[in-house]
Amino acid sequence: MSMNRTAILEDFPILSSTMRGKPFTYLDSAATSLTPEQVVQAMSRYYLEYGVNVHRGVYEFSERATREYEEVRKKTEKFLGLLPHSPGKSPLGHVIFTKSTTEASNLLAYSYGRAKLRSGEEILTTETEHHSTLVPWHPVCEKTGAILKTVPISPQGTFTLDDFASRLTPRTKIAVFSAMSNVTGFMPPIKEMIQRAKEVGALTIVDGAQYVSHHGVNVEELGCDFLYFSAHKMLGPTGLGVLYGRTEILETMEPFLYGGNMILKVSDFASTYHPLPEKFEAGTPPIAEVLGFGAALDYLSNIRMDTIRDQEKRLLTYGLEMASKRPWMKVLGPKNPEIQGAIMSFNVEGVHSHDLGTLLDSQGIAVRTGVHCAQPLMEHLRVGGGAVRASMYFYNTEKDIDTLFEGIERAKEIFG
Amino acid sequence: MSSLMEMYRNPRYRGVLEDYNRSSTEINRSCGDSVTLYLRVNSQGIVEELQFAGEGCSLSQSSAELACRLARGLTCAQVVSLSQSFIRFLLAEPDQPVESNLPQEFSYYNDLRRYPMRQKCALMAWEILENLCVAQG
Repeated sequence: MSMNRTAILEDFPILSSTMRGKPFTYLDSAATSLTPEQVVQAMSRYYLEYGVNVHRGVYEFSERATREYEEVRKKTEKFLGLLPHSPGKSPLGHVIFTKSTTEASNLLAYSYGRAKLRSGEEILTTETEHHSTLVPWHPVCEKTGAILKTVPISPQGTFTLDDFASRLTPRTKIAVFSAMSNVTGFMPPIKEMIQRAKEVGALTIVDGAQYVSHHGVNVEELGCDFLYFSAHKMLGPTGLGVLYGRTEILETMEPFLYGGNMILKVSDFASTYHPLPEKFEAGTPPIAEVLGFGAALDYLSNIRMDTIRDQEKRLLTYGLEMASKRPWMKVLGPKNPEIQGAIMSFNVEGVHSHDLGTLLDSQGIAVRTGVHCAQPLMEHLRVGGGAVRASMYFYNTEKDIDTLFEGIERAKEIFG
Repeated sequence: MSSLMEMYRNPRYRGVLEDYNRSSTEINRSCGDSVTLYLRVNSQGIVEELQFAGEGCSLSQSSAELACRLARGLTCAQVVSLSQSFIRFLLAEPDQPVESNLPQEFSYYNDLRRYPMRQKCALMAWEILENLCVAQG
């Protein structure tokens, strides 16, 4: 299915709005994507028509809420290539709903990292990581005596499979890395990285927060043990993260949060826990958000992930070409759409990134500025003062890129 | 904007004061911008000399320049009052003019009232200055 512009404009009314009195140009989808009408409708339908709790009531509305909630779990499993599985074969892994990517990352750091790592064992990560993937492992190392090792990056923010593999040792127990950098868009060879990490017996954790919204993923083919991402970066609502984990590993882990919904039997002094996935879903889940996410997955499946990737590749190629004609623009990252997602971060000579961000804002253009929750990466790229990030999604067009460059030219004039 | 740019591009007070007796640095966590102020305050509590150092956007650096220009020669109590009036000025409604008893240079930052996310940039230098003057009377 190709992109139907009229339909997109109908589904995303915000695209026709104004900001600071100028037509709204949204180039910050790596922070959060815009929300289509269908997602909002799914959520308001729940609240207005059958907005009751799941897994509790024996009445019809609760049954409906529970059924639809669980259908979204199945939809997510299908999206990740887990379904349909062969008859008689138990599922390879489970989908757990969390409140965010950050919570999913913390779940693993607490329930796996703190519980299982021993002094001297190693965690391998990279210099490109977002704080949500990096920071939870710092206290794990403090508490357990495990050692955090990082794969260094080139001045373009990249690393090779060898750079990664040469740092794996028999002591590496966890390899945790992003499938796509939120700053440079760099996409490392994750499939091969997972394979090499497994060869030394390491657990593999993939941060898919940026990647999953733009690319089809099949966790079985990928072979990772864990993958997490956020609904709000793929048309869904805020307040919902997804953690995929392999069943046999999840089963050996203690719960992360304790309370209602995750228990099987409770007495005064002890309790037993519900089997997967509820063991990791304590408390009332974000029901409306899960239902909204279901509508987001439908929307993405209708467009098809490969169409999305093609469109974004075209936009990125266009943006990089425009930037290459301006010697006073310094683009961070590989500048190669084959290994780069729909993100272009840059600085303009003589204009501080925050000033540029504000001047773009005054022209109705939304971009991200600053250090992008990735301070170590910014230091390694020697842009401690930050950079401007333009990030795209399928609803963007070449016109948005043109508007961005007009804005940049104006800022350049003002700061001369 | 042009006068703000003039202060950003051609600062008169940028540098490290040799015989300073009060100094402090602040870093904006969201962007890494920094401002350091060096003050020489005499025994009567008058800010005799001051200079600033730092790196960052036009707002953080120009407001450090402005703070230095306006604070030189004032008593610590006057500096505190000036700093507080700058904060009140920024938080006022966008179209409200600068009160006549206040430095008219404040008006360079008029537009900033519409950009609350950026106000921290312009306030950094004033906050440091105020703390340095309050701390030791």
